[in-house]
Amino acid sequence: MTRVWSLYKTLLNVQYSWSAAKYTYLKKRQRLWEPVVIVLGLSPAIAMLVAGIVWFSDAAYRTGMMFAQPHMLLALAALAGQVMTLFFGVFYVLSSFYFSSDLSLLIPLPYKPREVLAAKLLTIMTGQYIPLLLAYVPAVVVYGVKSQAALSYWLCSVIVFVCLPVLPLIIATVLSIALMRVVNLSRRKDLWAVVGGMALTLLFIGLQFYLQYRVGDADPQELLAQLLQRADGLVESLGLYFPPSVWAAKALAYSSSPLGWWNLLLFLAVAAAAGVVLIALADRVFYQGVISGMERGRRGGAVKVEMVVGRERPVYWSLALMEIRLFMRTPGFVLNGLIGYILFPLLAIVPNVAPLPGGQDNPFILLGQAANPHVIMGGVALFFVVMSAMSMVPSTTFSREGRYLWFPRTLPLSIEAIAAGRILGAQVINVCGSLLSVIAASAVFRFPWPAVLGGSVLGVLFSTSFAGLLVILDLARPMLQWTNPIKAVKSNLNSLFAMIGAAALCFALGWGMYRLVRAGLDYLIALELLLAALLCWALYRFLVTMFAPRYWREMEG
Amino acid sequence: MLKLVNVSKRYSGADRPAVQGLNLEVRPGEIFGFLGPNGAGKTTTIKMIVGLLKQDQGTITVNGFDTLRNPLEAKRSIGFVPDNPAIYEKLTGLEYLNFIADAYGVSLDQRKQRISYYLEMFGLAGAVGDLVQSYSHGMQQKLALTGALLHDPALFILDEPMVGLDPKAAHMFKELMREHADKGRTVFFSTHILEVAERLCDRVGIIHNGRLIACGTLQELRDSRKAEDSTLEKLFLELTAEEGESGD
Repeated sequence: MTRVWSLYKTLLNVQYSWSAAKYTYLKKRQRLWEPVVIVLGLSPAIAMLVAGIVWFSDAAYRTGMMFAQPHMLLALAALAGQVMTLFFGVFYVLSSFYFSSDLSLLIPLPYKPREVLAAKLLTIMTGQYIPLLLAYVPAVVVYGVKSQAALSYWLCSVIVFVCLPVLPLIIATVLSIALMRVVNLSRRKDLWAVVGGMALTLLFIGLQFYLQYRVGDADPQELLAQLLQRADGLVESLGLYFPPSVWAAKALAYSSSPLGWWNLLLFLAVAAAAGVVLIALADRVFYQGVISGMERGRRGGAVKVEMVVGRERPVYWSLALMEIRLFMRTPGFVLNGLIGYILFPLLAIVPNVAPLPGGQDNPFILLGQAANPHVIMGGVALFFVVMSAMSMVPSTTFSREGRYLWFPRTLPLSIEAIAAGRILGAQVINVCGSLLSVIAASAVFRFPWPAVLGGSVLGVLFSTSFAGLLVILDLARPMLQWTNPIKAVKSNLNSLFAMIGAAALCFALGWGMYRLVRAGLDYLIALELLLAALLCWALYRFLVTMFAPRYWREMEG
Repeated sequence: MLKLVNVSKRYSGADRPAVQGLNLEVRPGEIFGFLGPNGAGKTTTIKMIVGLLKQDQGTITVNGFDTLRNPLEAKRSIGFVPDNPAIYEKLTGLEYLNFIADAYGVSLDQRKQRISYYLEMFGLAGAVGDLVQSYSHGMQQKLALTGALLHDPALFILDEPMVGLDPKAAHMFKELMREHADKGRTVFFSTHILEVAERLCDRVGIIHNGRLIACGTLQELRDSRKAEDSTLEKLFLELTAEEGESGD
């Protein structure tokens, strides 16, 4: 156990770069402004999010009270936390278990596969507690305070919180191990890992829709009557999605009665049983999958170099091509960066147009309802901008290079040329992916094609300027130390800053569009967006000429 | 070809400079060996020459171009292979070489001829279509060497080039360095293998604790120490030991 604990602490240190942070901030005393800016920048966003969740929890509690089922709130919170963990778990498990370069160091150590797996799983689980703090804790506190819960409730809530991510992560791990056993038999492992990872994600989403529509098939009035008649009808209906969340909710709601203890026991026993199965599986198949994944097949055989040497390309295109190849051939990047391009068309074409998780309206419906070609054009253009940030391609372009960054820095290419090549590469990916969604949505909702075309042209221009700013952002503060490619994109604050920036930009421009429509000047929406795009481009040009050469030269490595 | 004047570098938080007051001139047609114990400042010096680090003071000139004022012109004259060359694993060998050729503006005819020549020499022709992730450490080293030579650089800089090469490749590589210098180009490399330096280099420089403590031909070093039959290894050990004592 001590050995697993020691490994866990080391992995945690590497995962969150604690030693690197201590070295940078405390020993070298460099970039001390960064933590201050991060805390100040994120605090308002987190405070608003928590306030929103508390407000929602309060409303859900009051609604539940109307049907004498206030613990529906607890079931909702547990469900949200567990589904979220299951959804993202596949990505984290695949990246940590199969795409992480530390495995070549860990496998030769005298650790059993189950010990390595346990330490890695604990590391992933620790990271999951941060989003769970937001999804679960506010609801539990609201329920506890409102219902004046006893001490046993609070004790039970801590136990449930600690165990909440266990089962979803174990399910994600078992599925990932099974996937990689199959994938690693193939010659094109990276390709199939990406396809498999996306298929698992789509499977979870499909399951959600299936359960939702299954409930939706019944007569709504009859169903509501049934749910209200049963003591825990509403809570159990939520359990259709993921039954353990109902056990967690009942364990909390009835914490001082045998019913609560029984549900707590059930919740813990299922998690423990799944853990035992996983450990048994780990010793048998975990290393087999990892080791066969490390085998690098070669075609072999001599080739006539004169015949296969490529043609001369303009250096911008050569840089862009390299950016695209390196991104598309790294499963960790593709799984995280491109999932949005797959999800949006899916959400757009699902019959009856499904709501997004969390009850938000599907943005495509809002656009369709607008029925104003100028608004549709603006929405399409902003979609390209949002997807540019969501893809994480431009905002992590230098970070993803990591230890390879010595190479472009020694080439006789100006940072302007390098940035231009990277913007071009990022935009090829973004435009192809975004067009897929836009065409799907346009076909389903019958958007007027001139508006879609105009929006797409504006979107390409605007997202190109915005991508330029994101490239400069990553140049200014690249995250170059990582062992796991997913860390370079997912744990990179630049990705978060890019999304916050895109959201702020869309909010501001969306508000502008709203004001123009209200004033009957909706034909000026295109001009508004074009001006915004030009401003972004001017800012990019200013930054790339005034600051980028210094950042590039002084980037030590 | 390469000139360093009073070059110093201190890493932030370090208690002493990694390189201080370094003066050095390497001439065209010369193979120059840059020697020194671990942590002496060899890699820091090389990183400053190729543009990976910025010196705190002093000037570095490559082929007549100041590396800070005209970095692109200076870089165009350099072919560089670091001590542990990390090459993009998700590119094929050929994609990597084509990219370098595009970056340096190597014409199609020249790239075909040179890629064929070096790949045949290093026995990489059969693997050049595979992803770099399938290469052994030595194969990656050979690919990096090929990439660095594609534009026939005026100054060829290598940090510990022999590490990872098999004996046959190491032998061919030494021949290649000589051939490159005989064409009037310059080869500047760091190494711990003193026998190689002794046999191959026209001149050597010894750096210790960030200072250049000796520089010249082997004979000049022997003369300065009045040790006619000394090997480079013996001279190196004596010089670094003395410097260590005086430094203490």
